[in-house]
Amino acid sequence: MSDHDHDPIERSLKRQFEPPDLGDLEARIAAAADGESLPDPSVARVEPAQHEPAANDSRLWGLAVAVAVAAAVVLVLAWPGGGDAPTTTGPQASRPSPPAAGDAGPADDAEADGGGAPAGDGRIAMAPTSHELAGRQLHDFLHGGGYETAIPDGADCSAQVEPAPPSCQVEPGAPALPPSPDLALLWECGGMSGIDCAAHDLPAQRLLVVRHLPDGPNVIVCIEPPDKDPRPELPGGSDLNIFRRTLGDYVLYEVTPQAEPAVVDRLTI
Amino acid sequence: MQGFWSPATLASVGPFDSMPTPQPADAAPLTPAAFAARFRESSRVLWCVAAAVLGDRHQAEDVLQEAAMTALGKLDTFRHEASFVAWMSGYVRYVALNQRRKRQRQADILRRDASSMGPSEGAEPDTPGFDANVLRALDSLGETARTCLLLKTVLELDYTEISELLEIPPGTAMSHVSRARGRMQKLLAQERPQVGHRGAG
Repeated sequence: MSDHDHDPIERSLKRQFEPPDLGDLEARIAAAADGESLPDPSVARVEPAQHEPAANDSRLWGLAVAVAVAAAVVLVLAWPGGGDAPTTTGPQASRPSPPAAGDAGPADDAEADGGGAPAGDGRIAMAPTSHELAGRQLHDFLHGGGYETAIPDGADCSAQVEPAPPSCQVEPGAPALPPSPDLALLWECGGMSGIDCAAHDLPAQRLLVVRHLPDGPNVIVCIEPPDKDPRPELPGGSDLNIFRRTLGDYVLYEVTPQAEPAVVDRLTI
Repeated sequence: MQGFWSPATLASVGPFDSMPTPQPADAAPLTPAAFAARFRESSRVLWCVAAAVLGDRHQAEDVLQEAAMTALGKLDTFRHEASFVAWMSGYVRYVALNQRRKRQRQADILRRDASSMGPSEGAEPDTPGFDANVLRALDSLGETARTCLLLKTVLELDYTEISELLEIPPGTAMSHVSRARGRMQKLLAQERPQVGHRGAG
């Protein structure tokens, strides 16, 4: 076929897709950039976005932790079997993942940042440690299924979806989950997703919700720089397990109802 | 990401009419002001990417703004060895794809009640009916094929530029365009047989 054969179609495409004058948009972006010359950009006031705007991690993180601590106090009291004192260890405590044993194993977990000391009986009324809070947030998020409404269609790094979302095109040196016929990426926050994990009360810099195809279960994989690792500890009574590993400069852990890790070991750089 | 717009690449593709200039590898960190300047250079290409993923032009500007605001908050993720427009394109495509999915769900609901929305049979080229059929045919393509086709047709980028922008090999870009044209020809010919057959009809 010659190009001439396509003329009616190409004329139509040009007519319908000729970019408009984008001067106003460029001015809005320039104005937003001007306003963000300070270290803490306030993107939200400009953009009525469907995604949460990218945020200053440290400030949002602090805010999220503060809010979450308050919420967690309520949760502790309302937790099923709330009379049982939560403990820092138990059948669902963090366990190391066999492969890629790194420098962030369980021994490091005991080195809490001031709030991780084991508590004795009768701690019911005490605020949970940051590790317990993080574990509870992950537990609740995985069971609550909030990710299924956050972005209902999720994202899929497999070849069926074009284009692959930015998370599938991670920056150099960042862990990525290669496409796999038995896994589907349901949702993610952090990284290049444009979704702020803290806005979903999630203690992670980057978090993936992955489904074992075809019917589950769903698991969470968190990807953290070591200095941001929340070292989550699952709440007492949780049916979930945590498996950790290190990969490159990152600490990864998988939160799963299964007895063995099945996803975290598949991430590669 | 690969190293976009390396000197060797630039030498091989020659001057650009539509694509923004590359960022020198030793450039200073991308400041908000620099982002705004480079966004201004890239906005037409990025708008076209948004429109292509969406399949129409109506929400492309909104998508582009959302993507820009997201990227503006992520300037530290930009690597100077990468092309700004390729980096931004990742955000645009992601936001556009999510928007398209939301719209498709709404359309699915509406379609249950309005299943009679068919093509405009026999529409002549350069008429609104023909344009509507072209949109439907375009919508049947995959996102990457749609984007390749529009970047080639509307902005007249060459295949090297498209490949660097979408992070696919030039041959793949070429194949997408070729197959997309063929598929659209076929679909439209079913509605109006003379399209694509010079002298017919």
